[in-house]
Amino acid sequence: MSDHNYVPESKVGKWFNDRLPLLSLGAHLREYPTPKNLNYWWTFGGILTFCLITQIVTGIVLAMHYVAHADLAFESVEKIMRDVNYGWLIRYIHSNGASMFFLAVYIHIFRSLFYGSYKSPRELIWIIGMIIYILMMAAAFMGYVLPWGQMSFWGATVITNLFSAIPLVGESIVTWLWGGYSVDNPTLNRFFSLHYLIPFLILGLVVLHIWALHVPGNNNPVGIDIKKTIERYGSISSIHNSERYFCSINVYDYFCRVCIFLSKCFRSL
Amino acid sequence: MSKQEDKKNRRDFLFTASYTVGAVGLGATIWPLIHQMNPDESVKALATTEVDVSQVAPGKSITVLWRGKPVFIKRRTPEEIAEVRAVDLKDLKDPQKDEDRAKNPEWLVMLGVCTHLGCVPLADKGDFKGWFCPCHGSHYDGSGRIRKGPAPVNMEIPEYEFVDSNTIKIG
Repeated sequence: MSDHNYVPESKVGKWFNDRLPLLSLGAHLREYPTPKNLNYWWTFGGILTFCLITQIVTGIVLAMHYVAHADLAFESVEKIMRDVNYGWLIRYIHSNGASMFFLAVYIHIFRSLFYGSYKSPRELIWIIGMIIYILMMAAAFMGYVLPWGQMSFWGATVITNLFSAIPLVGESIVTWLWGGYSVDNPTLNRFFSLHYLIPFLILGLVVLHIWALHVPGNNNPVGIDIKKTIERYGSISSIHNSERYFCSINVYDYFCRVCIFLSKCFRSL
Repeated sequence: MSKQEDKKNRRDFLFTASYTVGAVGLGATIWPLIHQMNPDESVKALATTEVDVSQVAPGKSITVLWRGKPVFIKRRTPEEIAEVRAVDLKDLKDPQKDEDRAKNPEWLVMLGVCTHLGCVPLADKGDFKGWFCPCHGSHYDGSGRIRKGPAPVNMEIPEYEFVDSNTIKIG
């Protein structure tokens, strides 16, 4: 993965690294060279990783209180909002966080289109990214169904019915998706299961996405291949270590918090 | 020189301030994630139980559920009281006077959970006319004190009070 050969200083580290090169991976992530001229649009990969981790952490917490049953789901969500300690906050982070996740991913995709980051030799990064995006939509849709309110139910009905447009097998596919002849408890149960599964698939694909990025290295606003122009550029700073990287994550984080605060205000109206 | 030092101090201040704000933010993020697993207000609201004990005859005991755990309420006869109060404290593994365990000597209110590993002891069993835990053989006397077996301490007395002569409020 990395071009240089890292040798740990300590004997223990060397013993470990010879058997499992985890320290080499760490060194790679620490010293991974990035172009000096990256701008703020390049921080959205990091922001998205932050979003994914936030969604997984808050989602695991919500699953501790949520009941995936047609009769109990809505009540359990009410309980999360009213009774569970900080349940309202955790659920708002999860639901608003999902919207912010999409905003960030659209900016990320737009960045790629604008600066041509999808072009050779980075086609695979784009392809993996598109698979991640499709999985994100699936996860978000199923998450939307889980509270089992009116919007959830009819959302599930409409979106699953899209498959009925497929000639010949459409109806059978929809019945198969539902596990019945309408959206009902079996549908809710499988959606919960898949809603829990998909984020971990996304996490795996994110690893491949970053791996595929670290082979050719970052694109940059002027589109020059930095691997060929290192000497001309002289020093290369790592954006991962720069303050502005964390700064933009923080700005984004506060933006999310404001959204959560606003939803809280609207709820109390 | 003094100007440089001044600059250095200002930078130190900024670092300390940023780390402090960062630490507070991290704590504020982590605390809700931990606290959500604690019992919520709706659970806490059910944390006290009122029991009507007017139907309990002397020498008999009842078991009520409090916070999901059994509580033994025993109405003791004068002989039983005299017996447990006559015990020499030196014979006890966890010395405690019966007077300290039963506010009203007639009534013993006790958490029915063995202090060894949490099983529920059986009433009127064992070598000391009290309770016997079937899991690992702990014998308790008529005051719920451990006398023989692996349990380390006496059975716990919960907080309770007599609302009136026939009603006990536990918790």
